[in-house]
Amino acid sequence: MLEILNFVLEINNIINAIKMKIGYKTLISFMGTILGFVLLVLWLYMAKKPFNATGYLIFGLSFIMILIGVYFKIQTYKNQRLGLTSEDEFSKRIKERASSKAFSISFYIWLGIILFVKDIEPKAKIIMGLGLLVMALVFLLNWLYYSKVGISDENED
Amino acid sequence: MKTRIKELRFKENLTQVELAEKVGVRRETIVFLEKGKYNPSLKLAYDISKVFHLKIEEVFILD
Repeated sequence: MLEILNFVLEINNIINAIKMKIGYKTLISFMGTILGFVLLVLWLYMAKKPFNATGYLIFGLSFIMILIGVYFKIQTYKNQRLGLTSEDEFSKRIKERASSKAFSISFYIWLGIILFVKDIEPKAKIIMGLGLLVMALVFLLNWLYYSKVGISDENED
Repeated sequence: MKTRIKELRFKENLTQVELAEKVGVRRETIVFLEKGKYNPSLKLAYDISKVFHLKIEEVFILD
């Protein structure tokens, strides 16, 4: 019992030391990335083998996503270690540009899925089409809103 | 848009990290500003010019 308590305290000390060095927000997002990696390994371990093509595709895509996530976390850590901010107007603008591009590209991806994947039920096709329409509506409503209200200072959250 | 940030930074003996710290941005932002691949907000342009004790138009030059 005492050993377990010591172990927990030790982990707590390590977390506190990291928190002081890189900040709470970064620590949480870093933990999220690690959790993602652990879940991926767990899935790999528990999944039915051998994998089919879809399995490999899902694993590959998830792995690339985690690698990119780790890269960004390392960048954040480097900046915070130098005493710099981890998010500024340039990173926010990049994020905005990336989101808007991803959003518009996703329309074509969904259309591709609906058109080229043969064994989708007609009901699922309707749901996907509805999802696409709602996505477009959300985009247009946001566009309308910002064109009427404007964009306040980008440094404000 | 061209900038004189790199030249002025060398004149003032500042590293990219030091300049980034003074104006509250990441080092990468300074890198892209120096390369002329990012147009800063008016506030950031003002802050950077203030570091070099110059006017905005003396640091950032429109082509």
